Amino acid sequence: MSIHRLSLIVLVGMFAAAQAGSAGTPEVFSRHDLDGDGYLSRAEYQRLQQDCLERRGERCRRALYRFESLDADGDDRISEDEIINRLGRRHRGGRSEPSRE
Amino acid sequence: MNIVPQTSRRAFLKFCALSASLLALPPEAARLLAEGLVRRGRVPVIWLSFQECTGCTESLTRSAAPSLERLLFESISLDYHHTLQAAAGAAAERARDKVLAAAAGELLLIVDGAVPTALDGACSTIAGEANLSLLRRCLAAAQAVLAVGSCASDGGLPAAAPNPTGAYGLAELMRRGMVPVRPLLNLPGCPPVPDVIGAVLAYRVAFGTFPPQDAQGRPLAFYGETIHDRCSRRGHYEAGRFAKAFDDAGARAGWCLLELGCRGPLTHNACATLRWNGVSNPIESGHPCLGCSEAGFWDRGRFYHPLDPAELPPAPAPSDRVQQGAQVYERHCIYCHDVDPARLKTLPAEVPALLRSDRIRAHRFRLEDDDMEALVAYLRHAK
Repeated sequence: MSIHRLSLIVLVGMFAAAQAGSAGTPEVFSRHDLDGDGYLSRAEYQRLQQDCLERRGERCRRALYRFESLDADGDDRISEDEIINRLGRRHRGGRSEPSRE
Repeated sequence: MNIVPQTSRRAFLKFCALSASLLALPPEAARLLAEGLVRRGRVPVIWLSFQECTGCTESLTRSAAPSLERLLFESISLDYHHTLQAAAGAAAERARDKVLAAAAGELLLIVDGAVPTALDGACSTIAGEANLSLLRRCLAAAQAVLAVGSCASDGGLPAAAPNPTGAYGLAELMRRGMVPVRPLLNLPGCPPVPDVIGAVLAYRVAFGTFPPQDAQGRPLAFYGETIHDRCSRRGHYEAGRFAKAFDDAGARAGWCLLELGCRGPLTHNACATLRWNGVSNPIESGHPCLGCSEAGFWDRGRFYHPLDPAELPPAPAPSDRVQQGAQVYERHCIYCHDVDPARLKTLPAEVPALLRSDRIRAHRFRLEDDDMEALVAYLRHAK
């Protein structure tokens, strides 16, 4: 296979990937998003809580919000916006930017 | 012999930069390394294997930086290695003797394995010649010698009590006057980290000397710190989280292995920083450090037996600042990052600029300076 043909295939693949990305699939924002769907499911969040408890202790687990407190729209999953908004209200500096639509 | 034409200029300079980086040399050293390698050409090398397990040769052949083929064809001329040349038989022995005569005084000798001295050296022979006799002949023609592995450095397993073959490492043989004395560099480890062998060879070829050493003749760039100093589980040690058994929840969660016999606090080596070809090391794989790069480690008590607390370096108590930083991490960072901050790829000093750059959407919090400084202090502590 020639270099030119290989380059063409790579470019087509990159274009296809860009098109797929623009179709609305959210970016993975957390390493705890194990299935990579752009959201933290209830199971993934429970696993994070358990990880905190086992590896950092009870103080860390208690520092985490309850799942329901983060899931503002009640769709049983946590988006990046929901985390940004919730944490932004808590920390001492306050939130200075509006959330991205 | 000009070595540049055998590879691209870009690859050659990359190789020099990587080797200089591994040796913790200043930035301009990469250029000097490149010039040195071009100027000196290929250095004749003889590799002798005595009482050993072939693990050190395995280590060399798995070196990724620089790779073995680059070493062989561009930096050194490996004229004899009886493990790799076993099929050559007597021809290999003749080639070795020819090099000993032709390259006398220029030869770089590499030795792995301990040398038996009991029973007139009859415990280990190569082509009918006792190891001690062969070592004497090769050292007489050598400019310098590199002891690769714990056995060549201090006797290793063959020299462990009761040492039935009267085995010694090279330094001890020189000290006793049993072999000619030559400049010696020790690379202990069972086996040593492959990248260390390659980088030290590159340094020797380029500069004609060995890199700076510690009191045991080990290169400071790779043996200057303990495994514990750079351990990925150090945060758990500081926090008092210790695995009690190999299959308990703490072990599965990656807690400190000190109570399972880890000797990382007393062991100087580069395993925690270089890993094996950048992949992993025993501690990261869930096994305590056995201390294989320290002299006499086979006779230093039972494996898997906790160190005496008196041997441990004092653990500094976390400051209030660090505690504050830990809380900042738990209240913000942990939703997106690993619960163990030691796994963060961003260096602590770079965190403030990253957080305030607006390059990452979830980092748009405006942490107060006080919290930011505490977070950086905590991340440094955890690293």
